[in-house]
This record gives sequence, C-alpha cells and structure tokens, in this order.
Amino acid sequence: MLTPEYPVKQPLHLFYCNPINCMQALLSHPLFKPHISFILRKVWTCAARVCRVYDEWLSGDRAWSLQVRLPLLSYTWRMTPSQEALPPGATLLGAVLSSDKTNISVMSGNRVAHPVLISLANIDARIHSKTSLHAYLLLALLPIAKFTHKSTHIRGLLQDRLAHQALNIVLSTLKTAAAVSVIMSDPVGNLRYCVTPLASWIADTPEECLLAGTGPTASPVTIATSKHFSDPHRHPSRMAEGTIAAICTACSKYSPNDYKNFLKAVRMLGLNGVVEPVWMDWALSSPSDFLTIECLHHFHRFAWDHDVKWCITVMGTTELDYHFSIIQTLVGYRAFDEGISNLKQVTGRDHHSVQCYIIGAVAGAVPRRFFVALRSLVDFRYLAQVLMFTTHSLDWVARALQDFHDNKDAVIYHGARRNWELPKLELLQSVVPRYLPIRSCDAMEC
Amino acid sequence: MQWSADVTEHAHVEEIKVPTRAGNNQNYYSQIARHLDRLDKCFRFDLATYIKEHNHAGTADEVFVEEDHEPDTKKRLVSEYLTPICFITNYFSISSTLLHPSTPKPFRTFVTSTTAFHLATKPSLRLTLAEAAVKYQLPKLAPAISTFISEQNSSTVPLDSIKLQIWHNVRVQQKSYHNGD
Repeated sequence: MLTPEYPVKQPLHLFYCNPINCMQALLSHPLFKPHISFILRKVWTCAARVCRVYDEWLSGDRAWSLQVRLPLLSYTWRMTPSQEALPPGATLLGAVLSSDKTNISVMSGNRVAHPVLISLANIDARIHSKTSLHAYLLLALLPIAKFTHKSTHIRGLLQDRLAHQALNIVLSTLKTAAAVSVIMSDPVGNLRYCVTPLASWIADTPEECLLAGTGPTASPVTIATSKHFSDPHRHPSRMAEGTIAAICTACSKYSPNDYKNFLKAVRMLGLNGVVEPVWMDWALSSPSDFLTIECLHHFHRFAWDHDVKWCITVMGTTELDYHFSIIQTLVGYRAFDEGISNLKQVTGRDHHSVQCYIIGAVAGAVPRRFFVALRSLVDFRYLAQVLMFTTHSLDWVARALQDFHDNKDAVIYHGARRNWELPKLELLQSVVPRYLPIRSCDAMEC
Repeated sequence: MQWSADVTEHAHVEEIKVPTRAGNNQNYYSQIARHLDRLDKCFRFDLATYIKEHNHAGTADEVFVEEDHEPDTKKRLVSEYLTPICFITNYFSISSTLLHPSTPKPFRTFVTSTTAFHLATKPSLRLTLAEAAVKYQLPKLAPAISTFISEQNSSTVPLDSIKLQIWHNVRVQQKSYHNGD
C-alpha cells in the first residue's frame, strides 16, 4: 500500500519482491552455474597490450574502476558504523534493471502495466541475451495512478514522483547492499561479500528521462540541451551531484508542493520535477553511467523514425516504394513488394530489414552528401551493434559517427529536417566514451 | 557488453502478458504476482525432483535410461523451461530400430554407411513416370528406372503402371566425427 502525495481515484498497491532475494535466486540457479563469473579482467588481443577487447561487463573499465574504488569507499562513505568492516575482497554484483510500460489489454480498458525487471550483469553476455532463459525476473509492478488534479502537466509530474517514490521503496535493500555489502552465496556454495552497484538500466528514451530526472529538452546522460543535441562531440557527463544541486535550486525557489510554480521552475532548469530521485543515495551509481545505450530503441527505432522519413522526403514516396519493390530478395529475407511508406504495425524485425536495404534503395537517387550522411549513420549502427568491441572497432565506430556529423548539414539543406533536436542523436555520442573513458584521462595526464 | 531491449521486451511477454491472459481481467497486479509466485514454486519443485532423480539414477548402479528417440518427458519439461536446446532427432538410431522384419515397408528413414535420410510423410508430387519425365525434362528417366528395377529384382514391370512419389526436400543427417558422441 502506497500513499501518494495527492488524492487519487483508486487506492494504490505496490507489488514487489526483495531485490536481494531476486539476485540470490539468479545467483544460486543451478542452470546458470557455469555461466556466472566474478573476476574482473582486462583482455587484449595479443600480449603487447595494444588492442583491448571489451565483451562482458566485467571486462569493461567501469567495473574495473568500481572495484578499485571499493576499499576507498569504505573510508569515504561513512554511512553506518559497520562500514569499516567492508573487506577489500568484496565481490561486485552488477544489478541490471529494466523498466518499460507495456499494454495489458487493448480495446478493453487500455490498461497499462509498468513492470521493473531485474537481472545480474555477472551472467555471461551470450546467456544473458537469450530470450528464453529467464534471466530477467519481475521485481516490481509500479502503480499507475489516476490523479484527481485537473492539469495534465501536473498529473504527469505527480506520476513521475510516484514512480520514484515506489522505486525508492523497492530498491532500498539494494542501495544498502551497495553501500555496506551483503553476504550472499555463490553458485559453488561459498559465501561472498557482495556489493551491488547498478550496472545498467535498460529503458527507452522517455523512460531514461524519467529516471535521470531530466525534462524532455535535456539529455539524460550529458549536460547538453536540445539546442546542442547535434554537436559533433560529447558534452560532459551529467553527474548525479549536478542534478541534485539543480533540484535543490528549484526547491529553494518554490515549495515542491506548489505544483504550478515548481513545474515552471524545473522546466527552466531542464528537470522533470522529481524531488527525490531513486539514484540519489545509491553508492557507486550515477545516471550517466547506468543509463546505457541499447540497440532496439536507439538504433533501430531511430532508423525507422528518422532515416526512412528523410529518404521519403528527399526521394518522394512513389519513387522509394518503386525502388524497394524491385529489389531482388534472397530466400529468407524480407521482401517489400508494396514499398515501405504505407506499412502498418511495423515490428522490430521490419526495422532491421529496412535498414538492410535502405542504402541500396536510395543509392543514385539522392544527392551525394545526403547519401554519405545516411550511409555513415548505417555504418555506425552496424559497427556499434557488435557483441565484442576492440580498440580498433571503437575507432571505426567513432569515425563513422564523425562522418555523419561532417555531412549532416546536407540533410537539412535538402529539406528532410528542420532542426536537429533529436535526443537519440545525442545519445549516440555516448557509445564510444562508455568503453574508453580511462584512455582519454591517460592522454590528458601525459 | 551490449545491452538491448529485445530481451526485456520479450521478458514482458513471459512475466506480464501471459499471466494477464491467465487471469480474469480484474486486479491485474495481484493476479500477476500470484501467478508468478505459483509458477516459481512449481518450477522449483520440478527442478528439485529432477535433481533428486538424476542423482539417484547416477549413483545407484549406473543404470541409464534406455536409448529412445523420444526424449524423457520430465527431463524435457525442466530443460524446456530454461534452456533453448534444440532436440536433435537421431535418424541413425531410428533406422536401426526399423531393422525388425515385421516393420512395414517402405521406410521413410534409411541410412547408408555415413548418411541418414528422412522423408516427410507426404510426398511433394505423385506423378506417373511419363508425367515426371515431361515435368523434369528428363527424357531418359523411363529407361533408367526400368534398368534399375530389372537390376533389383530381375522381373520387368510395365512402365505405364509405375507411379512415382517425388520429394523435393529430404532431411539429411551425418554423423559428427569431431564431437564426443
């Protein structure tokens, strides 16, 4: 039972499990036993340590830096007296959370559920990414309230706050475990001191904004605002402290319960009006780190929503449909005999296949620089999807994105777009720095 | 590590949509929670009994389950829940069980020394010999078949009465020599 801060139509119930129990269930699962690892590692392609390989979460730099910081943490974060007892050999257990709204019933009531799923980043990536292995457990069902307030904007604000309020309750044990560590048994049966930072939160763009506490005009992971979404470089990360400071500024101007004025104040600061974000007292976790890019929404949806629209604008509907209809398709590949401009109920599978053909379909029919921009964006997507990055392949990814930014003015010039206020475009900048943060620091120190 | 929402979107189906459909469209959240709880208990029970049985069979006197081309149902229940194992039917073993003289002929599964073939129940086409020769543009088909038949059982059959069953697809299986089994 949850008490919201404003009257609602129906009483709210929050259903949740203890996240520590969920993680323990995954950890002691007999069938995941051979696929769970705890050892952090740095992998190179050869002994000369030139080309680094990034595949699992544990081989990344972020996990490494977290483990290095662990003994320090016990010193700096004096949250409880038992903090000093944190052993240097604590184990990192990365929590993976995911939340997304999903429709339960269409046509009859349009009910929506807002589930939060939990998983473990220590499970191998190839096991983790199998859909049929039940690596994700249902952690909580966030309540969806019907507030009695008249204004839609304020109802949205209240719903956002409610989501964070509920998440705060659900994840409180996980936060404690991240700060003071918890004893859990590993698949072999040994007890380990486990620290649970948040490895990743898989969500689509609106959900990421909700979590990071940013408004629609600001990026959830960097300090860029809508005017700067198209900049060809990455803005500095949005640190947790910065967002909290901005929230405090807004709170000092107006009381958070003065919804109308408070909403105006937070809009100016690019926030969404959440006062106590869920990551506020979560050690080792900051939104710019755990909000990771994910393929489905940020690549495939982006391609469908934008790239294809640009092509339609530049080439015209009939021409593009004709080009698609005469493509010779191999057995096993999707054929678009009717063209693509009036497809309905397009699924992710179709997004994939349109991306396969789009370059071939528009080649020669669009201006050269527009084509280069499109092509480099497609290159970028394919390169960034690989399961295993190396230092070289990250260079290619960065170069493909740079090519797009060099040529993107052609898209505007040919009238396909008026501005570049695309949050997803800004998020693409975060792919490479996620893997290479340490290297850039080294370069600065040298 | 690459994160993708594909998996989580798929997990929604199992964790939310299936339990929802099992309910009566009232009080969604509590019914989903109860459904998943019970499912989890059932799964744990299955798993525990499976492990128990497995240990028992392994330690008692090394009695293994007899070779059967239908996998054990209980084993399948547990493994289907958690592992995406594609069960490989062993056509070699099926063919060896067919060696019994009372089995009806012709076989749909047959082996050479290295390769097993398996035909579907229904052929793609049923044609007479003349029709087949026209359809596949093989003028020498009829003489070839008559030679084959005479070689096999040294009696001539009138060519008009021969009906052919033609399969366009067959399943071919070969033994993997580099794998342990």
